Amino acid sequence: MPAVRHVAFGDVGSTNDEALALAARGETLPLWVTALRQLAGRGRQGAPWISEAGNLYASLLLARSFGLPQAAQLPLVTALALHDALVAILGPDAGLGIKWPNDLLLNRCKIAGILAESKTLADGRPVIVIGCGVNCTHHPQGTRHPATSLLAEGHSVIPDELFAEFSRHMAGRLAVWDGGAGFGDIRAGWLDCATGLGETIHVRLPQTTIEGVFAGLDAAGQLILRQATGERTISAGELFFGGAEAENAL
Amino acid sequence: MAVKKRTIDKDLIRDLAALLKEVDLAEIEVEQDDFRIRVSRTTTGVPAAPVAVSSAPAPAVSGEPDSTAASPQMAADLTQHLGAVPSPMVGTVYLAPEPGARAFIQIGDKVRKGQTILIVEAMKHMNEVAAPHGGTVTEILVEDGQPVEFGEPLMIIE
Repeated sequence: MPAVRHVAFGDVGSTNDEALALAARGETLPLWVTALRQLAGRGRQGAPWISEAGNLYASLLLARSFGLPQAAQLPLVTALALHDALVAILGPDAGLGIKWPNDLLLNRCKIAGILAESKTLADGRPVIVIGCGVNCTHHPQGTRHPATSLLAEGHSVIPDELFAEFSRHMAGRLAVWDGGAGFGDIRAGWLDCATGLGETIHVRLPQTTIEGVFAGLDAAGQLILRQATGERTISAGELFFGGAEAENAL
Repeated sequence: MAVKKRTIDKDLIRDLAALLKEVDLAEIEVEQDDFRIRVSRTTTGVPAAPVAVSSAPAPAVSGEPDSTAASPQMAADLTQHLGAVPSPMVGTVYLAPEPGARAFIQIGDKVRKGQTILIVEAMKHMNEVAAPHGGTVTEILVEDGQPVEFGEPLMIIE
């Protein structure tokens, strides 16, 4: 990826929305947007995202010159790049991992989330924006999956320093990914960093929760869950480690 | 071995289908004498065709699908419909921007080309699906939270 323009803000609603607004006003793509703080940070399905100053909030907006099935691979590409950046700063034995599809874990607690959105601008251009929030200093309490911050785990990391590593690794991983042609390499790298592979997990789907063994990723990046009745693939859901009864017992 | 021809008990299938919905189960199986029937409906995961299993010598019967969900067979026919909107990717469908929010569109709504009609998610990638053409929404063929395949018809806009 050639030199990417980076616009840094103080307070924004959300970096994804700000990036889309800039693109709508004709800003050159690709484009990175970062903010010190988000006033309306959000996660999957409209869930609020803790957005106090001291954490990293960054969104990358790309013109979508590839298909939607390929676009759905980008959260995995991004998770791997963020993993690269954190390994570069914390070292290889810090206890980092990725929880499917794209949550970053430190000692099995969530430290970062990624949300990608594909939209069509008013002038008809298809774009994808990939937003990342990394808990450098702050993390939410009482979440369904335990969360932590780099600071709480003993690592003092400045958001700008992390962004510099992240944007560099993202450019490298995007070049490997190559619009989807190189997803095989991304998938292999992702599996090397995956937490819970081969373990019993449960996945919350919109209407039910299912349990099985996390057997791998299919060629599209979907989770393969092995059950007594066979394997099934999952495109969307929230993964938890252990069997479903462990959660019910809480 | 004598094979006794028996008629399909449609009322039983209807009762089981109703029971599935009532207790929100994905599948139910009943065995009586030499006759076994399983009725399932698509709620989550891979699209499950309504299946019926019968132990020999009972004839194979088909269960009745959940009437609110399109069966794969019906969906296949609708791909030919001129007003069909196919899913652009494998994923999970959301009819509203977030749980509990108002749906993007309702049956009978007039939509313009480019208007967001639903979201398909895969791997935390939320894709806003835009109406490929303007018109009136006559059918919504998917339920909120349902998995969809590439090319599967999502709705009919005429």
